[in-house]
Amino acid sequence: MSDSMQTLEAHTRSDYKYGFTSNIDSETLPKGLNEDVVRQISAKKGEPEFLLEWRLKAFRQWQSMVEPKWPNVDYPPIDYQDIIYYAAPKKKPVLNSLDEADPELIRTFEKLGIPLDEQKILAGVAVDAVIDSVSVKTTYKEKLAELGIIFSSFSEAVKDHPELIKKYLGSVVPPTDNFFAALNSAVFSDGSFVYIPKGVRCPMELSTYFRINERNTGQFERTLIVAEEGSHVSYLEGCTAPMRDENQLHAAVVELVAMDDATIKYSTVQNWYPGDKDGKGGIYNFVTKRGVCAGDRSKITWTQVETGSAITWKYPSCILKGNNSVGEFYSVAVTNNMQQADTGTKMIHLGKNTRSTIISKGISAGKSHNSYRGLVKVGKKAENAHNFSQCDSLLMGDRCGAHTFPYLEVENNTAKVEHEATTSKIGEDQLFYLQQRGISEEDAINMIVNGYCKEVFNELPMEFAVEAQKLLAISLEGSVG
Amino acid sequence: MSTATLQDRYAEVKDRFRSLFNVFEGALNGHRDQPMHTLRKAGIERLDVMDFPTRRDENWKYTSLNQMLRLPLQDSYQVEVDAATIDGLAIPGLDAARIVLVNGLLQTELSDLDKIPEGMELLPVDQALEDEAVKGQISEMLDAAVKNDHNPFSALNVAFAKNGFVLKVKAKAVVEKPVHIIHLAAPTGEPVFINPLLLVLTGAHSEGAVVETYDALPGADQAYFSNILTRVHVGVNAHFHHYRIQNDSAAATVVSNIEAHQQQDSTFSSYLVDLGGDVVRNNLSTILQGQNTMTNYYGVYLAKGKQHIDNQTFIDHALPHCGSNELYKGILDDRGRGVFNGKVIVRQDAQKTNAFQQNSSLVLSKTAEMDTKPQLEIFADDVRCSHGATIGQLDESSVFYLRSRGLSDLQARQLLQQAFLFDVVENMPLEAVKDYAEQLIEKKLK
Repeated sequence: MSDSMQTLEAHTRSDYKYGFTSNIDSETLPKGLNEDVVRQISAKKGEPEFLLEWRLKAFRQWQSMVEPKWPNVDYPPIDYQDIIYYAAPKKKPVLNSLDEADPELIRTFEKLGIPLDEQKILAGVAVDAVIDSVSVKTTYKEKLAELGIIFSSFSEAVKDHPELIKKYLGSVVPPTDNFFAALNSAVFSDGSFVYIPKGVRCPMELSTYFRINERNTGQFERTLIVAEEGSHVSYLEGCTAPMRDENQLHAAVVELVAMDDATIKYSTVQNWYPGDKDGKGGIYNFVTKRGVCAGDRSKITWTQVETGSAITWKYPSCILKGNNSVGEFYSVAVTNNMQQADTGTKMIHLGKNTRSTIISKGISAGKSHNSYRGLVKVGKKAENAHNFSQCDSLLMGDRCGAHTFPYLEVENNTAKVEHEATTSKIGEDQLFYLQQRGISEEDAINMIVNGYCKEVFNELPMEFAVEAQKLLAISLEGSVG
Repeated sequence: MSTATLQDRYAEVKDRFRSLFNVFEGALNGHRDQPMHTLRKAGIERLDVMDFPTRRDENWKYTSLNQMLRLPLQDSYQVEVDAATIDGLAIPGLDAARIVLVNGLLQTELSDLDKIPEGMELLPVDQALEDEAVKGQISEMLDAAVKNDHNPFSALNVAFAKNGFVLKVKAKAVVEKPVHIIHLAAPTGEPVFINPLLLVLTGAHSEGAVVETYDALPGADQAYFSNILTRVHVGVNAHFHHYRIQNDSAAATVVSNIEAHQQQDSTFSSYLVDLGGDVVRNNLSTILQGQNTMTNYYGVYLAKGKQHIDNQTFIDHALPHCGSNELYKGILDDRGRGVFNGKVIVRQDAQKTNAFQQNSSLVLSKTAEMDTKPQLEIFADDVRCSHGATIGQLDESSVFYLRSRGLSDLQARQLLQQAFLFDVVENMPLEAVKDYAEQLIEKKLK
């Protein structure tokens, strides 16, 4: 084994830096899933009748569905009766200031670097922090309310704006869309709801930190963002999770609706526990994310940096229904050790003059597998659709894999679809050049990898870009050859 | 349609193939104790364990053979063809030994069986199975075809093939003259089942080529099913070129399974031109058995009317220092539909692999469709792999340029389309075949 190979191995073997458990009492339902559990979840949250019916319908559908087997990932069968479907922090005080909050919770947030305290609020980030399944604290709500923006936990939104929930819930990802979306629809515990009224430009980045906290708790989040005509919103989602030995299932659903001239930017940094070096533990991240550009000239941008989870299985997609609408997907997926990622996007062109861009950068190290799976579909009536896709893979080490499964389906003769993909490793000449300029091998590797991902990082809001670069360095620590 | 009814329907289809086999077997007087017969039986028995592909199978997502499977297929029979017709189908300027098969049956009179170029040998499969020198290899190849677990068609070919051939290129022979196999579909009035079978064995350090052309005689507008099986074993440091220009009738269903095995330092080049057929499906794959090999796939598809052309290619890079180069281009017009799935696997030990793949298509009408999936699966780190896929239209500025030089709009477009496809065809080393392919493409574009 070469020296550089050893450095690479040492780097890739570094431990998960965000592993810790905070002790907060939870009110938890027993393990297992049946109609009663669905009813109990709904009752605990005091939901209106229509939502219970909706959940039950999804649950009945889910019972008749089978788990998909097509993703390029391997995992032992999940026992869906061995999962706790509801866990909420017991105390839910109405807080006037941070001092009143559970100090344990604050410490957890501090470790995560969530800007909940006063100075950090000045950074312009309104945080809807979700610990396990129930929202604990929402900041800046009033300021947003002045503009008519609704940014609240999903359960609050159900109480305060049932008409909006009724109208948009499941309109992009129907409850029967797929196995995990159906499961989520039946048992989703909480999540975030954002509504941007007509013509409003949201003055700050909206962000939510999800955190899986309860042992054996499946986290079933639901996010719904509706941007009315001419509005603009940028939403950040970031995740870290504590060390666990048992695999945890996370099946979230994210729905975005953009009306005429609206813009939604959805950014994710995902750094959940990836399991240890031998693939023990780690999160199963099976997520359905989809946005619909319902109006003309609307735009949806998905940016994701995926470094965590034992298994990632997600395809943030855009349905380009409105004329002149734009869909974008920028992704960096890093897998290390035994991680597996099967991720990509779908761009469904339906309206005229629709454009989409896909930039996907995969980095595999250790014994991990990283797949890009994407679909670009141009419908019969989508005149002058244009797509550009680029999928690059970087391999670090000779035990990892990089795979691409791009599907291009074109039914219109005015479409222009371009796809290109490359696979390579870090060039020895690049490394040599940086090293002979006095840069250590590890820094050189980080520099090269960051350069490789730059196209995607440039799309992230600034605070996130900084975090993402750090994350990348941590995820690949010790790994290059 | 529910799975149960689908299975029922396929059970019926299987029964039809079985009874067709019984008829065929009954006519094989005195051939029952030949080694070929054991293989034939193994071929038809494969239906007991294998199902016909449906669009639920990922690899058949875009292509349905249901229309063909519903046909009451008949065993093919001799049809007389005169020499003048054959001369008309020869490739002008190609100096080659000609073999003529009509509906899959050998026309001895019209074939140059005694003029096989020096260094090559052409044997009927059943004879090769009794030839001490090659029988081991041949039965292995046929056995592997029967056991193909991707689709039952290669097993069916082994069961039904009547005049299969083994082409041998002797070790160290560099044969410039190719063998040209002319496959003809003749009018029969009823749907016939044609099973062309070709096995190629090339010795070490040899070089050779085979050219196959598929045509239909005027009047052969009945539906028929051409189920092609080609297997090529390329020896150490040998170079082999396989050309296939398919210009079947618009009622034909063509399924082909082409598989190459390459020893070290060898080159295998495949040139597929698909112009005819109603539904065409090509499965082209290469297995590498030695290091430092080169694999070239060139493909052209041109679908008009309601033609459907599906190309599936697969290269399994299991060993280091190998290269592959794939270029597929096609034009879809009218209600034509094209499918391309290029799969490249680079396994863990296949370091220093250099794999390139490009698929470009022109979609010219509102009702045409192209579905492409360039798929790369890479398990080794020191490799250079890239693929590209584009789907688009003619560049209007190029059209404008040509028109400014005095060409009509139609001429300009035709010229650009030709140039687009000739890009692939010009890689054919045999000049006469290249010219012939270009001529056919030109004709079809008009």
